[in-house]
Amino acid sequence: MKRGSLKSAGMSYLSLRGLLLIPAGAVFVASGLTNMDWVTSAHGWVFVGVVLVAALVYLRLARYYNEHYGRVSPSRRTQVRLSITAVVSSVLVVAGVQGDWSLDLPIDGTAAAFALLVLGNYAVGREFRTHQLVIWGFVLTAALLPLWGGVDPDVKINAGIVTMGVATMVTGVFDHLALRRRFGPAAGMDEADLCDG
Amino acid sequence: MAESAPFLDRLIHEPGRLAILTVLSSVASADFVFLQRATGLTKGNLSSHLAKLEEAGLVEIEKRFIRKKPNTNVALTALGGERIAHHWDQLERLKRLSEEVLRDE
Repeated sequence: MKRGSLKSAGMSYLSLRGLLLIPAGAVFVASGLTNMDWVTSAHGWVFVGVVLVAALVYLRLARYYNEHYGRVSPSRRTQVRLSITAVVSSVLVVAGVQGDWSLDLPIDGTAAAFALLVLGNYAVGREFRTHQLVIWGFVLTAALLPLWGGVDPDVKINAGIVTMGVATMVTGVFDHLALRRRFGPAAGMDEADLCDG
Repeated sequence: MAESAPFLDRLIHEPGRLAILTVLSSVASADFVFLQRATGLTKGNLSSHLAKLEEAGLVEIEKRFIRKKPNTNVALTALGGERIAHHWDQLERLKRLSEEVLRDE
């Protein structure tokens, strides 16, 4: 019996519900694309539509996980850690966007900040997986390549947001596959077993 | 003074119950479906182990309905938390002792 694997089961499950990342990533992509200069004001409604659809899809996917894999409430300590991470993440991304707006840096600060915080979050949670390292390492490298000097800040920031969205969705697919490997396929149990006693 | 010999709690040492308590030790609560997924126990086995753990005061079981479907939520009690932590300590001690014995031979 592996103590570590059993002890981390709850947190692994919460962090590997990857399909939930797909609507979140779609919102990032829609936000980046509809913010671009070439977009007319009518596209603002497209963004609102994407957010609404993404919210509905998110709720449906959350229900899918609850019904097929169960419900877990994180410990108080984990909740505090997640709240602190959310605050630090917001500050970092805002700092990245501000950096792109006001300083003509040769890097994409928005994407770099987001990739750093995702990698930092995985490291703190000690839940590093190869696909996460590859995807977010690639985003971080691309953002830090000195190719972004002289690029319009609007383009730079929105390219960063679109990259974040795509990387989030790809990570979600791989996270879900990792969840299936760890906890079994959704239909892997008898129908009777899914209805709990 | 010599340390007392490791004592293993028979109620907790059963692999199914040890798995359930270990999973619960790192979360606030988990439901029946998740415990099945995480421990690999069948529905019958899990129900029976949970009943024993509840009777011993190591877990709290809340039966509720979510979207008109029955849902069983399980959380470790303070006593359960102490007992599982102590049990893993004892297992670690036993492991260290057996390693020392093997080294001495």
